Amino acid sequence: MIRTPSRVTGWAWFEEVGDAVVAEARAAAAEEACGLLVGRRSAEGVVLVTSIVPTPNTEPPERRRNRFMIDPLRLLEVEKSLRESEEEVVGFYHTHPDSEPVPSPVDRRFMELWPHTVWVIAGFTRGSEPPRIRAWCRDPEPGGSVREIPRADPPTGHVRGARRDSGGVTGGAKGPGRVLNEAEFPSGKRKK
Amino acid sequence: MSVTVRVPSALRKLTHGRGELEAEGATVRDVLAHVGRENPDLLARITEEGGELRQFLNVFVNGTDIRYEKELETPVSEGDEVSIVPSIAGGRE
Ligand SMILES: [Zn+2]
Repeated sequence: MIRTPSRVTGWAWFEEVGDAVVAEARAAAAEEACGLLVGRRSAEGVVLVTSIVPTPNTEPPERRRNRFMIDPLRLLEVEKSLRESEEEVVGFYHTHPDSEPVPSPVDRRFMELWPHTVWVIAGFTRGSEPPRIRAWCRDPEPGGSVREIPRADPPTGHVRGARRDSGGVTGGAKGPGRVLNEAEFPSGKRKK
Repeated sequence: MSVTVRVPSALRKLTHGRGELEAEGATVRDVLAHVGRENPDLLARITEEGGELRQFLNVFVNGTDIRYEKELETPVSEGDEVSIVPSIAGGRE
């Protein structure tokens, strides 16, 4: 059952998912890379990312250094492939080849269109390696602001391997992931 | 005509939790108006007050962008799938 999204209170991803995003960021080098985050929401509003779907940056080549766009049809395809599953598209990632992983004014404008959605940014600040990763969300209420979402630790003991079918999904070894006990997401929360 | 309207999971808060809605109408405009009657919050997100589609809002009929058809006047047929997807983009000016 897909939960009706509520306020996002935290986020986590499995280590191999983070590794996959960093690999995509490096591969895109000076261009912005982007993709979909697939996962689940706990009752407490923690979003657990279990896999990513890298997508082409559909901006024209001369703009890809500082702009990104994801083909909405790709999102439709992926949501369709997830229809019978416990998972959904819970967010998007993109990279900042040479700046902080903080949403730009243009990022914020598009975030407004996507309530309850996690925006992960991997930023190579002054060439930092590995990139720094932070996640953001815009609350849906009018005048809601963009806020950073605290990172949690993923549930322990998961079977390595995220999934899946529809070509282009990465995030772990082959094989079905364990169906997570939603109640366990928040327990691994990292104290700041 | 009876068609299915799909919204991404991120917008389901606006549709009482449903990702799939049934609607009637002969054009996309009719369909959105129909859906909007029960889901006014969704309608407010996808159309301007005058009823035109908001900027950065994409509507597909069976996977074809209505911008390449007749925009909101694009006709729909029985069983069509109308999908609503905001643009996903960002960057520096
Ligand atoms: Zn950005």
